[in-house]
Amino acid sequence: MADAVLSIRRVTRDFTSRGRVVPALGGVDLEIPEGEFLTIVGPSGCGKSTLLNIIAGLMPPGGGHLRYRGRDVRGVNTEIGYVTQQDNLFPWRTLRDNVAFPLEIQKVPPAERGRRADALIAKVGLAGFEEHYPHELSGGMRQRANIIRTLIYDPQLILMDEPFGPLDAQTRVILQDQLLKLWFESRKTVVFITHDLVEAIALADRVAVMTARPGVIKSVNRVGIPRPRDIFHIHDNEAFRRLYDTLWEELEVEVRRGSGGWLEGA
Amino acid sequence: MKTVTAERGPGWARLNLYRIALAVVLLGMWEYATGRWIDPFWFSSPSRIAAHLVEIGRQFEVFRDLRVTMTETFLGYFAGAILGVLVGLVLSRLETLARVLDPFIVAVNGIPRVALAPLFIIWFGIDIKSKIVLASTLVFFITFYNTFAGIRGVERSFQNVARVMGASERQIFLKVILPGASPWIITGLKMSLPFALIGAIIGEFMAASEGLGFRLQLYTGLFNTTGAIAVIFILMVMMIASNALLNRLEEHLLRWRPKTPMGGEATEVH
Repeated sequence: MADAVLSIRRVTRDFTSRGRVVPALGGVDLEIPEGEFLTIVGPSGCGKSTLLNIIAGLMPPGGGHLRYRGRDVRGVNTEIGYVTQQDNLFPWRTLRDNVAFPLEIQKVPPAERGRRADALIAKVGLAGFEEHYPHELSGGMRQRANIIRTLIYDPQLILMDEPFGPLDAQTRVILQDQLLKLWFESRKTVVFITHDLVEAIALADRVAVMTARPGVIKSVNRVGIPRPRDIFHIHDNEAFRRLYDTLWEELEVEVRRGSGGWLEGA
Repeated sequence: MKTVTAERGPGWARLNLYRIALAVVLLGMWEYATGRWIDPFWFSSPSRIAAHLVEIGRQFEVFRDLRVTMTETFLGYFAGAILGVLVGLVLSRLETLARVLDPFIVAVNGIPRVALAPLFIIWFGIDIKSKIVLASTLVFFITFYNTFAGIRGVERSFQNVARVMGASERQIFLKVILPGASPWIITGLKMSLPFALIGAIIGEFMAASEGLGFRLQLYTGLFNTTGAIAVIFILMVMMIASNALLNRLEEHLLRWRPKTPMGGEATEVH
């Protein structure tokens, strides 16, 4: 693919734990074209987060290589936005100052960064909380702040590591819907990790399934559901149900394998 | 979605009312017991101490002593605190140097400061210089350790978030590490203040010609318990006042932190 934002070839990574070498990634191959929303599902501990850390440049790959827009990137890739599972909002900054933080780093004048932060804050329904500190906000509010803090500096590629993982089911669906709407406006390239199949299908253009550790890409599946999608009634969609069944069959084997056998007979 | 606000206990005015009531009851019991069950020669009494305070308040000397001790305490505090924070900041950034110095720092900190006091008197004389140095060595280690541990304790994920956003190492230090470590640093600054006073008083015990510690020594030498307790009372008031000041500062600087269930009042108890 010529227009791939990111191409990952045979990327591996080992960890040493108590003197034992544990392979986390066993040769991952992925091509991600411009403007695609790709989700990655896999059993827990399959190296999904490791893969994102390598893409972001926070961690070097053990083997293989990674190209961003056709070039090698050394160290942290600052054209990438990274939304982590923990919201990582700075507790000493108000909501507005948290969201505006990346602009402050880029030395954008205070008036402009305040204006841009407030606009995004209002867009995700947090208007009125600009002066609140993170501990005064609920989990859902903090995660929304975490996402718009990444969107504000307009990164070309956004990585999301189970951003809705810690949230309750209702809040999750609402935030998924909000994320889809935000994404639909900007059409940024997104790599989104989740262990929730429904979420993976509902959001994605393509869903990649990862194997149990050492993780490799088992299959990549195109989601044939037209956009904009009605995320609240996605279960009623025939294409959704067919894909869900296919993916679950693939994933189930891996989940059992990744569990170390204790789910084997279940 | 609701915002979370900390539960507030009884109001500030009510708390202070309880506190005053408790003080009155305790002092009243002391006053009542003196002359009945306990000998005023050894333990004095609140009324005698109050009378003594009024009396020495009319003279110039007590204010001179107060000024001397306060000067020693605060100069020692600022010297020790500034140095402690600076060295803490520098060493937390220099991994190897910190590890090389570690046993030396532990060894020096292990010396009982009272043991050093006579040496300081020899080196720096019997005037306020030796007391300032003594106070500052006590303050230094507390602020140093807190700053060092605070900076080490700032979560890596916070730093990574900033790094991915393109922050330079300088920006990460100023905008992430320093504010992240500030609760520890401020705790160190607060905890070490009483030690500055301890240093000054110990120094004055050893050798001095003025200061509250000198006066305390003088009174106890003369078996004047009323005078001695009066001086201790002055020291107490001094500590309470400066602690209140530091609490105000802490409350302002750490206003982003969730309030404790006691509404932040817990920090006043030592």
